[in-house]
Amino acid sequence: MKKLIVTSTFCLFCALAQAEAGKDSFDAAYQAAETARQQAAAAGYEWRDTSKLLSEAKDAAAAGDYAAAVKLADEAKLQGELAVQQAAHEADAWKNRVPR
Amino acid sequence: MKALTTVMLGVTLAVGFQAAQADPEADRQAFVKYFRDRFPNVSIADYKDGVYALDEALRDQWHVIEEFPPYELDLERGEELFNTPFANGKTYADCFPHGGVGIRQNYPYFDTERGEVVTLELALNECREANGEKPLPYAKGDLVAISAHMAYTSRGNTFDIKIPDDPKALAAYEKGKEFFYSKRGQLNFACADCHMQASGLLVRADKLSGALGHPTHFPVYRSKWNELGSLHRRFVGCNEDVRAKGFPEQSEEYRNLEYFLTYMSNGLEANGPGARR
Repeated sequence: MKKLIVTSTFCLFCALAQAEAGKDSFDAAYQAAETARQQAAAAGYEWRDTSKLLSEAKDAAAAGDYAAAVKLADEAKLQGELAVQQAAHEADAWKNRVPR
Repeated sequence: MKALTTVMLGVTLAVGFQAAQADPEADRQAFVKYFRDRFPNVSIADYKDGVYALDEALRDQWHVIEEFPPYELDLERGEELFNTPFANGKTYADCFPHGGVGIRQNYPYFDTERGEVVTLELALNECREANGEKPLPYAKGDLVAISAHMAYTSRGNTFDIKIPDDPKALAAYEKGKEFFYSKRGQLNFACADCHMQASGLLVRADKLSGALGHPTHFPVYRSKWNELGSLHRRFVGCNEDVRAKGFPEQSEEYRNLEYFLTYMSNGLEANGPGARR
């Protein structure tokens, strides 16, 4: 019986710790993604769905599904980064499309 | 000898600098030439009709639609709104040259005092606010109906957008031009990709119009919207279609884009409001 209580308490502690770690890693992922989105917006190149992905990430985290939440946040971060690359590339590339 | 070299160097640099400077009129001629080369059988004047200049079947369908134009009720409403005085007794006519009649072809213009592009829709809301009224939404509704009425009174007038001798005006034009040719969004398309390179081709079941003449027939009754909408509403839609986040209607980005696009359409007739798919 004592063994059962100790084991159960240990498992509960592990689950809580994992949830806490999940929340922490989500918070970091979300923050990184939001920063990337803001950088894209500052460049004038934010993509249409980045905010929606962030919002969905928040919803997943609120529901306790941190794995899904981090995945969505990472996808939003990728969008932000690609948009910033796009802006940098287009700063000169647009000139090649002007008819002469 | 040294003096001569200095003078020649100076002249060369000056000429080189001139060549690197913006030349909107040269841009416009190259723009028109692009479409003349791409569609040799289409008269340039017909580009005011958008995609209907490029497809006979679509044009015939459109002529049938125009017998009972879908924007007719909006036009009546727009005229009534235009003529209804504000609470202070003044009217829209008091805000505009020629009482607001037959002036569509002069918009947008660059206001050198304010240092920015002023579109007709922006001017309408500024007129409202100057007379103690609340501004109206830019994408659709009453403001667009008033704009449609003003466009209608200007039918047949020739677009004549000016770029004053002001570095800020040229910069606004250049920013609009850059926007038009820059790829954006997750799908990585520039306005030019669809409306120049792919003009006349199909995107799913719709034929792409050429950018030449794009602004002449706005506001537009779009079947997809089932209502009248503004040019900037379409800008938002197009940007979001390529999965770029749209800018707010009447943002600086879209006013500069409208400035560039309308300048490119100089010489074409104003023929708004239009009816489109």
